[in-house]
Amino acid sequence: MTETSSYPPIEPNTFNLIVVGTGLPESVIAAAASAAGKTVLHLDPNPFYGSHFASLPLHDLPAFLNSHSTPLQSSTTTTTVTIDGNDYTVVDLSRRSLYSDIEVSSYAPEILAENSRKFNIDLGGPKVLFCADKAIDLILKSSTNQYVEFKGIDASFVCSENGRLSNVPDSRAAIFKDKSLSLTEKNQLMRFFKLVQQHLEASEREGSESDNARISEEDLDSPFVEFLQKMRLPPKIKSIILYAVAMADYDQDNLEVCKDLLKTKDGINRLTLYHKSVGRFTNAPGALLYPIYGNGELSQAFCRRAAVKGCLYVLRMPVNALLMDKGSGQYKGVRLASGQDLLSHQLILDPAFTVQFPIVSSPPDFLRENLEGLSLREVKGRIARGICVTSRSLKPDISNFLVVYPPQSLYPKQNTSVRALQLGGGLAICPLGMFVLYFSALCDDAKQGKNLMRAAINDLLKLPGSENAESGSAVQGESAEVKPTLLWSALYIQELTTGQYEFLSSTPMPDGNLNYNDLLDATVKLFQKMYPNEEFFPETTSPESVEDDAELSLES
Amino acid sequence: MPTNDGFQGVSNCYVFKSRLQEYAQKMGLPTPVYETIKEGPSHEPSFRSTVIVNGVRYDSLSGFFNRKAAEQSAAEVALVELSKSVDINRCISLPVHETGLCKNLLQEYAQKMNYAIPLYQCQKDENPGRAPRFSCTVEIGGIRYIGAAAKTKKEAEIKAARTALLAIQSSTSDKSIGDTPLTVIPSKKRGAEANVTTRDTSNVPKSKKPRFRKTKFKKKLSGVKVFQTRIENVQMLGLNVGNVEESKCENNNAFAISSKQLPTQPVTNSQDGKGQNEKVKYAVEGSLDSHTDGNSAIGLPTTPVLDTNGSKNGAVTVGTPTAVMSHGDGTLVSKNANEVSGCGELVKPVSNSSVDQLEASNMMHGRPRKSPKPEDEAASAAKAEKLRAFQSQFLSNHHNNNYTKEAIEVSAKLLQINPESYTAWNYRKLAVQHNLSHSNSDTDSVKSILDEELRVVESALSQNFKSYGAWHHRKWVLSKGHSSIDHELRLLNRFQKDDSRNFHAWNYRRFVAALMDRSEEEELNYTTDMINTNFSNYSAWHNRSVLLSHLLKRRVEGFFPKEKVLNDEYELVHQALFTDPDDQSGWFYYLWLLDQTVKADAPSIVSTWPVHGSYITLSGDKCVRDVALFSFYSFHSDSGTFPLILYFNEAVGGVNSSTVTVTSKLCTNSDLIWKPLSINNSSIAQVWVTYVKFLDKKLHCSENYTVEVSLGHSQGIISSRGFDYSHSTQIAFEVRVQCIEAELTKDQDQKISWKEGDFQNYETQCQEPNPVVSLNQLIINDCCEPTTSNWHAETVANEIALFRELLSEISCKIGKLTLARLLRADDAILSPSSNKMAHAEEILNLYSDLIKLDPSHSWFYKDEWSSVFLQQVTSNGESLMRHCYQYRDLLVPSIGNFICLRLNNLSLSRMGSFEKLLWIQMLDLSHNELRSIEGVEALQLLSCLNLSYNKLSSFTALGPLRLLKSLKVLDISCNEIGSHSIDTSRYLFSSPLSHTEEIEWNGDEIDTGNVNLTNYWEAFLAFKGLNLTQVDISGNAVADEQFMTFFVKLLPGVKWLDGERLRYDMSSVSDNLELFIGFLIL
Repeated sequence: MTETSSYPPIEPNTFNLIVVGTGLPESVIAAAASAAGKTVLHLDPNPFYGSHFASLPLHDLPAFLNSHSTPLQSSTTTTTVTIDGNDYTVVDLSRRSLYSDIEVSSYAPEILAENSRKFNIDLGGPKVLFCADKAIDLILKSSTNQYVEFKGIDASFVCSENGRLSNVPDSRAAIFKDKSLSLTEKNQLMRFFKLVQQHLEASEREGSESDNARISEEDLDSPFVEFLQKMRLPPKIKSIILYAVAMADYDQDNLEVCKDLLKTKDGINRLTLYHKSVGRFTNAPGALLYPIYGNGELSQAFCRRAAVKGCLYVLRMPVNALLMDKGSGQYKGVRLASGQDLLSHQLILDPAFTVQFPIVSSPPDFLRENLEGLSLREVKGRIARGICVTSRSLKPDISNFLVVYPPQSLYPKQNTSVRALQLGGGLAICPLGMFVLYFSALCDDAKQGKNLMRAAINDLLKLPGSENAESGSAVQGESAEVKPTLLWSALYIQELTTGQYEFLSSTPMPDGNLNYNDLLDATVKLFQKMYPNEEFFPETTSPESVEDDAELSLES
Repeated sequence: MPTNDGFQGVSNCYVFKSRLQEYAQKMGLPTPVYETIKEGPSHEPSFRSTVIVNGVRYDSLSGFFNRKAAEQSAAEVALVELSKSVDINRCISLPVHETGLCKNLLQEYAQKMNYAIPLYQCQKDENPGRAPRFSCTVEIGGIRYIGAAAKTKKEAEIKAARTALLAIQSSTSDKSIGDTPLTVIPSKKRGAEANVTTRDTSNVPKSKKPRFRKTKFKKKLSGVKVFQTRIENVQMLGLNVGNVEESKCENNNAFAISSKQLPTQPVTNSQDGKGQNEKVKYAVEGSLDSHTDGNSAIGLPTTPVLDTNGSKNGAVTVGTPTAVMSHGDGTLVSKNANEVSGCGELVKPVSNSSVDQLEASNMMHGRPRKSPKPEDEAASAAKAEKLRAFQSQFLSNHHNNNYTKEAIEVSAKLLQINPESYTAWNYRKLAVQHNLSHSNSDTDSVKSILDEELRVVESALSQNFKSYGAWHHRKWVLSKGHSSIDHELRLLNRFQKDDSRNFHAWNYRRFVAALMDRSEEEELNYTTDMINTNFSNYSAWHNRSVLLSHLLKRRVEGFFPKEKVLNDEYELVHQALFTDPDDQSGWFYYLWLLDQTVKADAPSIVSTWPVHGSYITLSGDKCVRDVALFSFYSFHSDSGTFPLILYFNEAVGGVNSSTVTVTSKLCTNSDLIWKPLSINNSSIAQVWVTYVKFLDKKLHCSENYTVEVSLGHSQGIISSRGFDYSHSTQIAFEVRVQCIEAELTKDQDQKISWKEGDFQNYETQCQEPNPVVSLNQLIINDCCEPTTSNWHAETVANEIALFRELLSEISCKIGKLTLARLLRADDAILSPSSNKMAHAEEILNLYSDLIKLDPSHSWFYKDEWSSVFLQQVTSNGESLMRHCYQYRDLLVPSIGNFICLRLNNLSLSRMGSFEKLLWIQMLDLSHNELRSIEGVEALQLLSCLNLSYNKLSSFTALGPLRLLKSLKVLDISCNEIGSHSIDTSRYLFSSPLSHTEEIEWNGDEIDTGNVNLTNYWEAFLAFKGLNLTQVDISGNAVADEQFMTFFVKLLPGVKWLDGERLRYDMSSVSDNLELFIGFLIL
């Protein structure tokens, strides 16, 4: 209670929903709940928006990672408090370790220190939006588009068998222009795209069960890789479709290591997403978009949206403990770092939080069960992430692009694909003239993850001091130019958690996907479990469309 | 080129068709028939039309941007021509306004001018004791015209319409402003009435007739129209099935749209049946026009244009507005930390509704458009209301020549809503001229006037960037002088980015590029960019071919040698073809490329008759042939002349006695008259003929006379593409005349029967050299210049390999077709002279495949198949001899020789390889599927022709017979002549255009008794000059009793008709012969 001076008390002290953490899923839920008319309190212990989805200045990033790399134990004592005549058990929250094996190296500290604040580095990179994906739809539906702007990613490349980076022929025009495909390959690829297109058109038609254009149910349930095989696509094209368009993570040809075998149905859905994305916005050249100022903008935009609808925001406000109903063990409220106790019907927690087992005093059994469930939250795996800063673009003429290393393209035992995204100063994420590269790959353990990161980084960049530039470099071989030199890098392993709605609800961590589709699905699910009778962002006439209508009507 | 578009097309042409129709009715002639041809690339079609009135063809000007305008132009030409003859003058000079057509005309005029439908209001004046009188007013374009009183309501309406038309026409004729192409301006004289407030036109009188009938009729008509368009395309594009498909579906689409609109079309008034037809036809054509012209209009997100159908309704259909282009210009979210630099474009996702619009604008080509939502309809109704308000205001300004700032502003607002309003554009032109003349030419005010115009056009274009009127106006403004032409390119880039295939924009781009003298290389690079963005862009490919041919022709730096450039182009187009073989645009370009590769520039001679080195035996009227002579090389002529035939590889002009020298004792070179064998009466043709007389000379029997023909020694023979026949060629042969006089035998009257038993295969007893071998000698003789490289051959071979590979992957119609064409090209390149058909079997199989794969174009493939098949048959002596038969009776002297080429029962759909068959005198083509005999005119020696059991459907299809001077026996029985009301042969086979019959035809020339000659003018044209002795015509729908009466009179020389001997007085026969010899010499 000594800190009350620095934390002004929050009024009122009862809410429909308290959200802790301003990551994208939390922000979306806060905005959705606000839109549904709930009173929402949105808290974040950090001085910035975005939590694990934030975009941070260069020097803040290691600090954040480190702060979350060690579990923060709390006292395991259980106390009781009485508010308005009700007794509550106070269960202290503790923080889990979400990041590990953090390695940060700086090769040009002065320049970087000078410009540190000009960086907006994504914690969960590489992440982009597909022009037709759920995130864009949500942004449009919720009118969040007023708060965020995007630029198109100019190109995407895939590392082919010979180690060269070649353009991903992802659209008709791209296939046409592609120089690396043979005429027959072009034909095969385009034919496959058309097949999928026809399938979709046929599926949209009603009562077309017997339609020839449709891919059979049997095929749809088969692995995508088999289907591609069946379509007689050559390995090169198969690899492009699987890893650079459908963005499969695991080696689809090697069932032993493949933890996620893509079904034809899903593969086609991903292909469709990609294709619908190309050309959805006339001024975006490809399928992918990136928010200016970084992905952290998205969380922030939803927070603004929530604030417009009356959501209350308090940053720099840690939550210390949960209040449980003494009798039923049900969640009732939170205790803030300021010492203030707040009550709410629902709580959404940042994935970092967990509850320490109260060992000494044994709570009632039901509570123990709940808490056990909470602490045994499933960790779905790990993801290795890498961030590199360079002062030159990998490709001379374009600054924003994606590179995909399909499994086995870096080294034979590479089981998962590595994706790299280079972004330039034009996106306001780093000083002009510098470039940030994000890398990520799924991994089983830190060693494997680090290997993947290093292999990819070495393939693209030159480490300062190492003269070993000619060692089979893709970029160099292709354009006979020197690889960009690394100025700064950070490698870390991130735990993957899924969102859950149990005793306590928590949101997922940034996943290994390139887009937000899965995360948003989980978020919507969470919202619907919490508010089964509420619509997730009800359809309203957004101010902008009203404007459009006004424009269309004629002035007299 | 840029000057001859849209505007002239529409100006003043609104009545010609109707007037011509009226004239035809008056004269008791068949309805004028229009043959309209779509020309140019499919993305930028232009039209020209020919109208046939009274058997005479009148050609329109070319280059119209829509079908209807071309037809009106043809009608205009016809009227002008017809008015030169006196009796016709009597008919035409009478004002058209006497008949019920007035109402039609007025209706048409209203459509043309985008006015509301004419509104008739009748009043019954009852005078006690007398029959009631009706008086009527009609309101059009905001002006009310009062007609004289009449006995019936209908009459009164007609009179009112007449008043209106007279007023409108008189105002048109005395109004001409320099050379400015302006459309008709409504009456000035009626200024007083112009102030009459425009009535709301939505309360149109209800239809008296059931609607469904009308709708049905329209459907039928438009079906026919679709068919015609399709056919025309086959023809125009040569072998391009792809386009056919495209336009077919386009038309179908258009049809669907139009038929949807039709039921809502009110019928304003009852009219006589004829008028109704006319009107209905118009409606259909109109709606088709609007959708075919634009070429890409299907997916057009309903332009906010008041189309004619709409204005008829009174309730104006204005579609959902075109997607707004502005997007992505949102402001940045303010964030102080960083500066956003401008590399790349900002993408700002917009809200749902805008996204839908964006999608709509992306759905520009070939995709279905959404049906308008109810709320859109409400909005469009409101818009229409507003539009009407502006319109009446505008019209009154217009009529009063009011060019104040406010008045001009009204027109701008009107155009903003409806950019298709030509009247408003014209008004603005007048206003600009007016203002310019009052601006005492100081640069600033001129600039501001013109800039204002450009601004209005720009805003109209952003409303509908397919507005003809707007684009045209822009050109007009630019031609007045311009401030910044760079701005035009920027504007174009914006439009072309929005819809890269907008052919208006491409057209305008060419205009601007020419105006600012932009280099063709730059423009070529632009097409490359556009193709890279989206290679399904006809306009870009087309522009590329145009630019490239200029650059190649001029041998611009970097565009020489041709081979290198073309190789790169092949490389580029392969990418498109392989990426998406279903896309047609690349194939078009490919065919252009192939043409560039294969076609030799200079024309050459393919074959002649008599062939070089041959020995010809001639016999005349009173000679009996020596049957022992080689039949292939003997020729019998009643008239004592023999033809000299030159067959070129393409149509050439300028063949005459100075460019071709014939040296012989038989004739004097300068006496020879060379005539082009062209059914079009055009001055260029592939085949040229002259007749050498041999009988009137005192010739020594059994003496050989050498004839030498040489050409190429001097310039003058020029191909239609403008290349000279350059290499000099010598052809020499010997002639011997049989002049054993003999009595005519009675056998002369013998009938030729085509029965199977009358023929026996010639091969068995043939000893003489066959004609094919000797034919080869000629070609070797003048073998063209040695090829410097075998680039052509290599390229074609590579292409063949490539397309075989593609076809092994997929089954692709156009791929097969292209392969077939490549193989033919390869055959032609590999053995230009030896006639070997190395790929014949493969090509035939490909066409057979195509017939099955693509039944809707099977006729086209069949024609190709037939042509290749005949090429194969005639490729060597052995295969040809298999079809040569000897006719049973060797003693029919009047017939000529007795080698009959029998190509019956072969499923041929057209005849070909004429260049190798010039020697034929007896030809059996029965039991095939021929629909045309085009090209048969080259067979000048032909005396017996059997065309029975084919699919010839009209006398027009028999047109080439007219040029066969030796033809005596003709069997056209069991065809389909007369069974089709519409003569499709014209559309199926080439060159119905540029085809003016120069015949002095007087209806009294032949006493036709009670038969109305005009019904059979086609037959008359086909047979008028022929000296047939035996004709079979039974089994055709046309051959009824009345026709036969006419037919016998038309052909007095006939002794055998349908197998029956006609009783004829021999002397009268010879009289008639005299008469017809006059024709022969035509």
